[in-house]
Amino acid sequence: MSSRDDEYTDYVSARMMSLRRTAFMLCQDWHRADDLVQATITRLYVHWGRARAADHIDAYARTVLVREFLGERRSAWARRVRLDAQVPPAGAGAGTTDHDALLDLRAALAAVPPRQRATLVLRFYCDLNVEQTAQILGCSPGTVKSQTVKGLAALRRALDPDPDPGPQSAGERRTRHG
Amino acid sequence: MDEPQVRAIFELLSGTDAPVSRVDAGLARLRGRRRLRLRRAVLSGTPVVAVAVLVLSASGILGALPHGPHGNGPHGPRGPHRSGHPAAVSSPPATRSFNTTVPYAEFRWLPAGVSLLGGTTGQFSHSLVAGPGAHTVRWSLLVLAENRCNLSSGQVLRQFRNGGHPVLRCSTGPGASYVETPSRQAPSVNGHLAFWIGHQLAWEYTRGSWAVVGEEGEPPHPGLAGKVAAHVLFGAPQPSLMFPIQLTGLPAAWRAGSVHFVVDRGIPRGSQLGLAGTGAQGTPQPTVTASPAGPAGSCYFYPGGQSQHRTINGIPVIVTRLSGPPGGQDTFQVCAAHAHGLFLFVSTYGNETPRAVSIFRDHLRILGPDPSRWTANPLG
Repeated sequence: MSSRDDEYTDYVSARMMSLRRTAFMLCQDWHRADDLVQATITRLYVHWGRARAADHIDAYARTVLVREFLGERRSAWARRVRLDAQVPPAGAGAGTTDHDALLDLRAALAAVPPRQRATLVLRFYCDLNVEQTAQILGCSPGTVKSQTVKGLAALRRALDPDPDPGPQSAGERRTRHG
Repeated sequence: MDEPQVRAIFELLSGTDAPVSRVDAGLARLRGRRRLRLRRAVLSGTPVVAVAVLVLSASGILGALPHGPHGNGPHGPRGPHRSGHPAAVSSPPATRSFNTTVPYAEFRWLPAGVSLLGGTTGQFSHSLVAGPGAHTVRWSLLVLAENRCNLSSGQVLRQFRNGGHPVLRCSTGPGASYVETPSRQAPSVNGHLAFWIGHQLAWEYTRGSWAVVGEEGEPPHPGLAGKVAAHVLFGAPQPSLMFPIQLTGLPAAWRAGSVHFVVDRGIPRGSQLGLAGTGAQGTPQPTVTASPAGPAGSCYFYPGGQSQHRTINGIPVIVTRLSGPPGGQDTFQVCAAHAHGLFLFVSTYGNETPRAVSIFRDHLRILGPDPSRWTANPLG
């Protein structure tokens, strides 16, 4: 293998888990997450020269991943079926976590519009600040802030579609899932 | 909902175990290299036209490859040729279109440990991929029907001699093409002019008909490419692809437009059937995918009311309707993770009828995972 390939392989191997987790947070589906990561690291290979010249390779990779997620076209190939056996959903039947609550959370997150969800993931899962998030999403910091507010509201609605008017409802809901 | 709550949600979700990864860095490198080659070809002077480029469509094939063990199959010996000399391979008659249920070409020699993995058969191009493992493609072969390319080998040679940079543009089907830039002349293949395209070896195997053998991975073995190419057999009688399903009662004009196949327990099993002749213009072909079911389901359930759980003919399925882009076509899908031992997926587009649900319900015969029940005739 060339040194370019060596470098690339070393990087991808080291960051695979992180990329998969982030992809899963974005799409809430491990199959799709793997497809996203596969597409991401393919693009990363094509643009490896640019990626390794970037100030922060992780940020570059995350940008590619998020844009793959947001730009995922509904082509025949994008929708191609998975022929592999799917591993049962994480934690299913393990008895150590409230599985129903996890599914609720995943469903709620999936109900948040993709761009808002990406904003929430970047800010609160990847721990990026507003400016870094804006750079990845290719928008202004102001847009990130408004997308964050909208995303939080969407998540709240998804978790509590028929809220009681009182201020306690969110807390109660949180307790139920927590 | 505030920031700490969202962080707590993410923390909770990230604390769950991830399933085994399907992500393959080797595959990413392979696909990435193809894109780079394509980009170089385009940058070297190919006019950028709105064509989809078929790149030895291993990418599609790989998605359909099974995890299970694969045998040598009925395609003859796979080990090194004992004599070390190419077998006498005569030129086949030129053909303007291929049978889509019988591979037109065959690897008669591959390096030790490499065997046929699968391929794609279309009306105007067939491709085969071979490798040491189900997810490791090492060799690929693209075979084109007569008059699908813009240049003959003689024209390519003349352009080289005149200091030109020939660009080989081949139409592999509606809206799909193979575009590459030969870099230099290569040793002839069974007496036919041949040219290098990166690590690929292209030659006109018979009048007006090109084939391209490509080796993937590093380091390349140029000598082996010539040997693999010299042993490709074209147009010889071959076993038909075998299908674990059969479609019956479809409109008479519908035919097998393309097939992805994989070598499954030594048998070339059609894993995805693309239907042509449906009359729809500008939409993707309806497809029917069938493969042995895995231990767990693998159908997407799209949120937002796009997917519904249903039972069709006693089989639990997920029925999905996806809205197309503005002005585009909707997609209709039926997915069954377990249908009498098979994973099944039917998709249709736009206003084509019958739609996916109707195909699944009224036109699909499920033969099951037992090869003895498979058919060579996917459209009964």
